[in-house]
Amino acid sequence: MNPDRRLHVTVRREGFLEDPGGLVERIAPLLTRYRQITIHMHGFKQGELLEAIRPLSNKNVWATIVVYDGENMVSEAYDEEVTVP
Amino acid sequence: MVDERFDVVLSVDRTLMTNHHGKEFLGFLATGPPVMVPEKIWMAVAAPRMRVDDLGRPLEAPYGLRKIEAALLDAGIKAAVIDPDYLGKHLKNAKVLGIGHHDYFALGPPSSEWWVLTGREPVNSKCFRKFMEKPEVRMAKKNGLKIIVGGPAAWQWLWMPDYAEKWGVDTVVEGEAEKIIVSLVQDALEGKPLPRYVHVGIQDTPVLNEIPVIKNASVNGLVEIMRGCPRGCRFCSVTLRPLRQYPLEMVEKELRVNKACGLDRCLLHAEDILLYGADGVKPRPEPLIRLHQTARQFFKVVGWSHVSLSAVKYAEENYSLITRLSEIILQDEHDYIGVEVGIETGSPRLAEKIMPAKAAPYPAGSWPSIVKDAFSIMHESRVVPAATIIIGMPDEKPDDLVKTLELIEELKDFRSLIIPMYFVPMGVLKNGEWYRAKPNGEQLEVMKACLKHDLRWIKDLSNWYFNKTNPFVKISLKTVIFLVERVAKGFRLLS
Repeated sequence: MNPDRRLHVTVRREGFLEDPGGLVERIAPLLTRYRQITIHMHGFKQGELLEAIRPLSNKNVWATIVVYDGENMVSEAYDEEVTVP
Repeated sequence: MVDERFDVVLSVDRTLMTNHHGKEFLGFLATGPPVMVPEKIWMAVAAPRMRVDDLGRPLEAPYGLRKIEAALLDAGIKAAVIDPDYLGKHLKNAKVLGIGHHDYFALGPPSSEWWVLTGREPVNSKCFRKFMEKPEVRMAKKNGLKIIVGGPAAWQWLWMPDYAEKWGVDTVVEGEAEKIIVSLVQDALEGKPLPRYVHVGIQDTPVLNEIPVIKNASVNGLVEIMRGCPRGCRFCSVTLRPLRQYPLEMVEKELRVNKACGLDRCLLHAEDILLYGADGVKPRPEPLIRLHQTARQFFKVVGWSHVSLSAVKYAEENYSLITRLSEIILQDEHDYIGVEVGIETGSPRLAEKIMPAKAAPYPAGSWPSIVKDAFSIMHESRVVPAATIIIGMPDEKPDDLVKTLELIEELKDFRSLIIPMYFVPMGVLKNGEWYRAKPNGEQLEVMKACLKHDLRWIKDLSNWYFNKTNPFVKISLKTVIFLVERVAKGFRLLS
């Protein structure tokens, strides 16, 4: 893991509903490559958001993961940006 | 009452904000539903109210909350742990409520097991629900209070997301929070958006000099001496954290804090006390003897949280170390030390598969004989293990349970308690009625064998354990033991 690298992930609810497991599946290969992963989830109710990230808690995750509601955007610089799905 | 305002209030429901009458083992009762007595009596025995100061701050508080309190105070933030009965006044002014819990929704062992066996909700989750629905908490939430939840059971919010929504939980923090909590709370105080969820990764897990020293007393004088565990068992999350060992000076500082707050006992806490200062997984006498001598300088009563059975065997066979440590700790020939240990299984096959390093430095295949040797050593040294056995592992086969039954039989003459932990697979939690997942025939046989073993030893131990305990607790528990024994005899579990 590169100690300085940070990833930003944008998740949109519309696409997620078609592919509920997509979020964690998609970012799983990235979990070992970044020190911090910030995820902004757009259009999710809080309960849906927690449910969507639940599979993360079963994984052996070494990165810090910070998950925001999409409406609570925090503007920071990232090394890579991904949109799911 | 004195008027002092706190920006951050840290609290938890009564099942954790208690010292269990100074008897840590009674804390197990707070993870179950009331058995054969009314709930009020059960709660009075398991989780009595705590002594508080003029501000409603408890004399003792859970160690995890004390660490968070210390991190915030060190950062200059006005924070305090407040007893749940005194929240009203403080939540009118506070901007953040921080909560830490071992088992918010009774989904972890042993709560989940009690629930499965009795079909009744344990008191810890009931109490927590009442805590979150207190009018003063609801009112403060309406007025903009931010709620941050964490602790070892933080993962449970991902399985109970409706409650997070219903109660307005702003942020769930999973992992060791001392390092990240300050910026999170500062954001809350400045009105910045909070994340819904934070998983604390390895780089944000505090290193030794980032772990603060507690400022106020912890429940029953608990002081941590190490964090993490090198054994890597598959069923345990502690093993994912880096191993950090507190220097003796840091341990001493926390012992002093508890002593200054008027406590008369301490409980040394680590996943394996005997690995303090160890050479890998091989205990060394010098650091352990110094640690125990230091603790004894402050307190007459020194307790242990956990030891591993392989370390017990190695320490005694190479250095007579269990004998030497018990001589430092024990006050007289009628005294014992209680400690939690993990047997987990009597099956060498399963031991090799799920906990290959638990037996180290011995081979995992010899696990049952390690357990027997360690129990024998502890019996001779007046150390009383409260041992867990895990039932229902994903890889478990009927033959594994037979091996476990055989091991329990071989341990019958060693003074101990054996507690079966029913493993509830996470997948089952998706189903709202997970607690209807009943153990199978062989699993029930193991549970019965444990009960039989425990009833054999519990009367012998209760005279020691409840010595100097208040008469109400003593009588209540003796009544419960008597009733359980009668029921067990009715079911022909006992002759």
